[in-house]
Amino acid sequence: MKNTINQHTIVPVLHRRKLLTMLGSISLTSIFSSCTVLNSNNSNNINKDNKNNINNANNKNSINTNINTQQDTYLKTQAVTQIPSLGHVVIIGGGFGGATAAKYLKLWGDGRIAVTLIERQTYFISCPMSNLVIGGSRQLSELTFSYEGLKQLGITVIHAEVTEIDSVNKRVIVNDTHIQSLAYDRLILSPGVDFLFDSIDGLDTAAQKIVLHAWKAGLQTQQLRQQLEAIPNGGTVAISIPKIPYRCPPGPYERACQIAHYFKKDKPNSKIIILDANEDIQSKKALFTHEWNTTYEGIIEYQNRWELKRLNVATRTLENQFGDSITADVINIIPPMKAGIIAYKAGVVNSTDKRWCQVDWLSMESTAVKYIHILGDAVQAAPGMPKSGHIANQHGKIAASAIVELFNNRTPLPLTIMNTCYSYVDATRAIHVASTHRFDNEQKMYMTIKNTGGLSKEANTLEGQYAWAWAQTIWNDMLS
Amino acid sequence: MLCIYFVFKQCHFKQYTYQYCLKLCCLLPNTFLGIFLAIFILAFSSLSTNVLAADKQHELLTGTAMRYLASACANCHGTQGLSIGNVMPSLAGLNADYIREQMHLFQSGKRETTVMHQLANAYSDAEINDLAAYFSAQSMDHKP
Repeated sequence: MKNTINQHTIVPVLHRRKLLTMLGSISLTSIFSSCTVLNSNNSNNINKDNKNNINNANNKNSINTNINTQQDTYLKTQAVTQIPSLGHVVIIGGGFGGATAAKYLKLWGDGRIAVTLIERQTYFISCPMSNLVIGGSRQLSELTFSYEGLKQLGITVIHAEVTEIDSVNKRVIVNDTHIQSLAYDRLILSPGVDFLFDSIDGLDTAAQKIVLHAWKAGLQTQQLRQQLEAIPNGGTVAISIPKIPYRCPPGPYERACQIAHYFKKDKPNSKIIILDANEDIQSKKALFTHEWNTTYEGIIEYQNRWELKRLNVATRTLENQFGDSITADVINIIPPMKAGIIAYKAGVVNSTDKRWCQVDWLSMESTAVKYIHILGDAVQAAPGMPKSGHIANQHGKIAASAIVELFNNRTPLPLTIMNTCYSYVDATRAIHVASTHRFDNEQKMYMTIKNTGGLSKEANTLEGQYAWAWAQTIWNDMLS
Repeated sequence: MLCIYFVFKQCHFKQYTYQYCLKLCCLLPNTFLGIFLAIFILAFSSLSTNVLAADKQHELLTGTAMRYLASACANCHGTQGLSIGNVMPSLAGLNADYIREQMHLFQSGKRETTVMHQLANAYSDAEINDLAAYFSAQSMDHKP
């Protein structure tokens, strides 16, 4: 399959040659090595120039100078002793963004960057593919992974809750019996989203136990599946979609397909009503509507401009901005979203609507607080850049590369990034949307690249295979 | 002399590094001719401005910029080009010419694909050359 006519095959042959030839090639190689030395000298000079020009201070030597010494016990025994020359990066949130950043800081830092990942969950559970659990074709265990792979790379993984971020003294306060706080040179926040439950009347804490979002994969994913299994043939399900921006634009429509797939097979008289607060379907419109009109004809009903305002849990009734109401046996509310709460505690939520974090796109560093980088769904997105796991992974790589460069007193380099987002329309067939993004020097932001990106021609099983392979590969790219 | 010209031209055409040319010379059946050729090419190349191009390629292959550029491919094709499972192709260790040709076929739409024709146009010819060289140099059995 793979063409191996390259240097790997030539070298052994070379060894079989006579002594004279060997001598010849050795002397030649040594001359070439001297060329390389010259090269590296040149690049050193460039580095020195950069050092003078760039004012991005690398605080590696002043890491613990102005901080509370009482709380340094852990650092002295754990982190500081491990800190090689370049610095210590603390990452909060071990999802698609944070885990990727942790791994790539290790990979690109050449072992000279200490990395601590703080994640409250013991296991990573993937949101991408979790609609398949709701549809019944996958188990949650197939989407669940430990952080062992990252630990093996030398990353310190702490399962604890961060209670406070002291950006003045560059410390993270942790709710843990052994560690009170951690000092950082640079902090990465990959907090994901939290929900604006208050924006819907009646969606209080008690109601949230019955009316699920299942928009963070885990227990709620399984509970929503159980609710679907419990309703009789002929029962209805309502899915409420918030206004954009929200995590995973095609996710709600994929979920409708997955539930419809289950109903068609097991409960053919059951129905799904999609109540979308937006003007129109937000992603893969033609592909989804084609499935709804053919494969799932009569099962899925779509209503646009249906913004959920009120919930009555007792009567299982939903009411919109016009006072129209709909009753359903199972209600799945995907509430409006904002950056994860820890981003508010760090003081980095600075978009005009006070829901998202603005960043310097070259480094993902907050425009509000220095030395804090933000990744993933919590970021105020660039044009055409969705809130997806794939994009969070790319944010992780932008931040990791920028921090490596900054620690080495070099300027961060712009990357070319991309998004491929798969949705399953049943157990085996999938569709995708793809886009590519490149840093624009004038806009100072990632912009989509002309003549790239697009959608699937149709849903098919080949794309279904690629979708699962994509998931397996990206999980590996972030976790091992 | 014709033989020398042939080897040298081949190397130049395929944009191999001169080090690679030298190894090719050593493969020639007559070892003395091999040495002669090697010395000739070294002498020629040291005078030629093309040396700069070869060195630049070497710099890119080991440089951090190259790793960053290639990392966008990792989401689907795996860290350093090693994918998981049998469906998504690994890029690690593939022949550089093959990668380059496929990328150009994706760009022109001549090769049937589900998604690559929508991504390949994000890269310039120079970037494709660099990516091809990078992935072909990755080990097929490394642990990322």
